[in-house]
Amino acid sequence: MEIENRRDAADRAAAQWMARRDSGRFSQADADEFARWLAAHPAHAEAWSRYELLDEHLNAATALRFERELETLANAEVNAKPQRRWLVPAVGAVAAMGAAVIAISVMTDGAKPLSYETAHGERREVTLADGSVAALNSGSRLEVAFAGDERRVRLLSGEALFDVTRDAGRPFVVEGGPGVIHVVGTQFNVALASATGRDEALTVSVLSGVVRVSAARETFAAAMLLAGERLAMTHAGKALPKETFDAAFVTDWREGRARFAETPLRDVIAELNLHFSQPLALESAALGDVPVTGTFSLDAQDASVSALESALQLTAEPQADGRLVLTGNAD
Amino acid sequence: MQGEMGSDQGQRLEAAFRENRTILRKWLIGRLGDVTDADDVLQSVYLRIWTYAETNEIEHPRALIFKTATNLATNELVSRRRRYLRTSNAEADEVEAVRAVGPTPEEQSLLREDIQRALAEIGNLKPKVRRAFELSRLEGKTYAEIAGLLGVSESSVEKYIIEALRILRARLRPGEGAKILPFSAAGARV
Repeated sequence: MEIENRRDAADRAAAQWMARRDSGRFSQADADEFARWLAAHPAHAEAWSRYELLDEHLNAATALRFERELETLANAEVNAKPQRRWLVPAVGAVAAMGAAVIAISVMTDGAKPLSYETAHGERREVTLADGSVAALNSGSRLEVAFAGDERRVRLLSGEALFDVTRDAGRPFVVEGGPGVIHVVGTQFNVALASATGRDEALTVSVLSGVVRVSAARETFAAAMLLAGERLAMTHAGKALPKETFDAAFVTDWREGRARFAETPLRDVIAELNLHFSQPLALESAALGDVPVTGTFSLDAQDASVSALESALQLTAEPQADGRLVLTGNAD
Repeated sequence: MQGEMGSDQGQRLEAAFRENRTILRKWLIGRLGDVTDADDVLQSVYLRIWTYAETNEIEHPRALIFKTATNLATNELVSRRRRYLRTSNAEADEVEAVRAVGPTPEEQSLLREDIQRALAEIGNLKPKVRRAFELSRLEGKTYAEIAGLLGVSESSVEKYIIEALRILRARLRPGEGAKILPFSAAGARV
């Protein structure tokens, strides 16, 4: 009889402790007292473990209830409107990239990271130690510092397209300007302001998989990007709203071409100049507003300049300082 | 390339994420009442499923996404329930009170039948007891908040919760006769 009473008292006390724990005002003093109660008698610990098991069941019941709720909500949504179709950009496999994969690494002594660089007008692909591939655009610099538990790289300038091999145990992390990108295993493009010529310090475009972008100095909540989504970040580490993009445009540089659709001439020139040995300039600022649509070779500067000349009625005049100045023909 | 997920599986997962993102986020915001918490949970869902998919075949992406989301939302509410006061004057401070790693998609240790029964038994509680219990469990409200909503004292709310726990424990008797869990350091969870 006494055993029954003790068991019953322990059961009641366990329920009281659980209720107190979940109250929102459980203090350190309460926690200490609870620990003393728990240790005071084996029956206490036994009673508590029964309530913990109950707790687990109740949490599972909550999750199940939520699941039904969510199902109902989702089904209502599907019935209410026609299924939306998302544009999934088609992306060629990286394996089908250039035939030559050049992996020239500047091996430095010991602890120093590996560093890969491309000169102005040069593009190159490097295969990293884990089999991931980084394609570097013109004027880019990438440092690789792989450690046992983490694959970390730093994009110091320019632009890189990554195709990351999956390794759940070793996350792939890219530092770029004000941002940090955590990769779950995917293909994505990272461009610094030096490559885009835009105001934003960093642009991340995801071609497949999922990446998580956060600010190096935790100035904003991390954003999760899925394939076809892009995020730009200011120099201060502020993220702009996510947008969708056409994957074909992002990977163009790797194929040695640049495509523009109604792009102002000044932006076109800024991008082409990243690759051209003879920089283009405009005779007048007003010319910069002229919209350009078309595809240009990044490697054959003469052909691209001729295309610009004939499409826009311009003349390219070589200058003594090495620049090519574009002048309107009309006047 | 070891352990690489088939690109087909990757694409199906992405499509499922995309199709369900709006609804998931809407539901999470409604459930958790907070956009930041909802987005945090949403990100954890993506990461967790992605990691899981690297070593597992996924037959029903949507079901897995929903299950993971509801499990993580439940975890969030559990941790809210277990906020505790460091000192009597301090702001309620959230402590690492729950398992650091919540239920994973593959974790299915509890019998669905038992869980259904638990749901039914909660429905059989007296209205005020049930209401207090659900506000605590399904919305992570503190007893002070529940007291305000129900127009009763905080100590009454605590009594309702104790009553609910004792009744459910008596009616459900989880694990009875099957096994008595050894008490572990898990008791220090509080």
